[in-house]
Amino acid sequence: MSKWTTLFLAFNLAVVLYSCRTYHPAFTEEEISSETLYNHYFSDPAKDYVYKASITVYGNDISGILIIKKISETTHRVVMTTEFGNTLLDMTLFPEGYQKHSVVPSLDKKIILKTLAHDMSLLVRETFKTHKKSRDGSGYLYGGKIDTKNLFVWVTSEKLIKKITLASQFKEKLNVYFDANSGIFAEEVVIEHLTIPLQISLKAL
Amino acid sequence: MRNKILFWFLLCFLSVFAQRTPMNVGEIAALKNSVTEKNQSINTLITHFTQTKHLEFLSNDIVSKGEMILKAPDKLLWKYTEPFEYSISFTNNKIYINDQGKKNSMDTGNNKVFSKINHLIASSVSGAVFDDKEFDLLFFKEKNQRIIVLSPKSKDLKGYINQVEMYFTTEATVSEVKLIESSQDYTQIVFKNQRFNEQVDDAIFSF
Repeated sequence: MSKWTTLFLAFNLAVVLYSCRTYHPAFTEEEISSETLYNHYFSDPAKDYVYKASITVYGNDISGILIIKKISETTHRVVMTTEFGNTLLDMTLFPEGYQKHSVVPSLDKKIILKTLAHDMSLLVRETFKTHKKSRDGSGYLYGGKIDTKNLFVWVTSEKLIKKITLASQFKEKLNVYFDANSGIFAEEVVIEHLTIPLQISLKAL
Repeated sequence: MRNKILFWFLLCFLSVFAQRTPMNVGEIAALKNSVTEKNQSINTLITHFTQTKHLEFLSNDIVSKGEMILKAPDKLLWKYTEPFEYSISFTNNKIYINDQGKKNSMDTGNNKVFSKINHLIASSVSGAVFDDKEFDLLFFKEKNQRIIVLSPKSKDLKGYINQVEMYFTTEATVSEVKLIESSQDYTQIVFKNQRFNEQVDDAIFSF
């Protein structure tokens, strides 16, 4: 084998190893944790959570109003309308899935509904079981699992959830960023997909 | 006891008179004439609006406000100012959007149904709503208002909107538009402080 062939193979191996590296945020002084984290940003059944929504998908911008309402202990109603008021999408989220009430024909595609239902379910999920934690600046980073995905939750020193990441063994799949002044309401939320060009930004009205 | 009977009598009396009743042929013709005649004199309309989105499961309706500017025959600008800044304009087969500084434009062909609803509002002001081929029209009266109820004929349009109600004042101008969805949730837009035929520059409709 020539020197150049060996170098080429070594380089390719390095690339393969790099791309297959495990996704694992920095857990310094990692410790075992059995803490349950609570997300109360969408948990008050008396409150209507109303946000101006901006969605960027495959380079296209869509905007509207996103309304979230807790309607029972385990279910949330999610409605997206245009600024003009037309309902684009209306669904109820259950722990085991979603029920579509109405959707405009242009959005009535299983992949769209499934993705939005998945994103919204994570947003309104009220408990996260964790199995490890570590200091992260003045706050904490927690690690856990949701189904087959790895879960990472960053919380501030005031115990406010500021970021949630879902990842496979190798890479991040989804980030959710919260900007909140209190544990019961998020003024801004950004949902960032890393496997498809989709970002949802929400600003409270 | 006597007061109770009087109360129920008054309630029944008032509810009978508050009900919506169909217009007769003469009243429909009179409405068409007055709206067409009034609107032939309108070149521009500037009006404040209050939009109320009602969803049955919400504790409170969602209210937004702004200004609507119409330039006959088909330039229409919705300028939301509360609780967010957002403008959408329909002109020359294009839709222009300014979402808090983020500008976007598209052909109406990509957004036929939304454009159709806005065209309907523009044509209600010009009086051309009576000739719209895409809707079945019913005519009612209620108190001092005359109401046109429009039901889309096509399945496409029905997928977006179940019914549109347009309320006309005795002065033959549109005072309210109600967009009703198949779930019976609705969006109500009430127009106030209408100003007619003020100078409106074409440039405000494209951004």
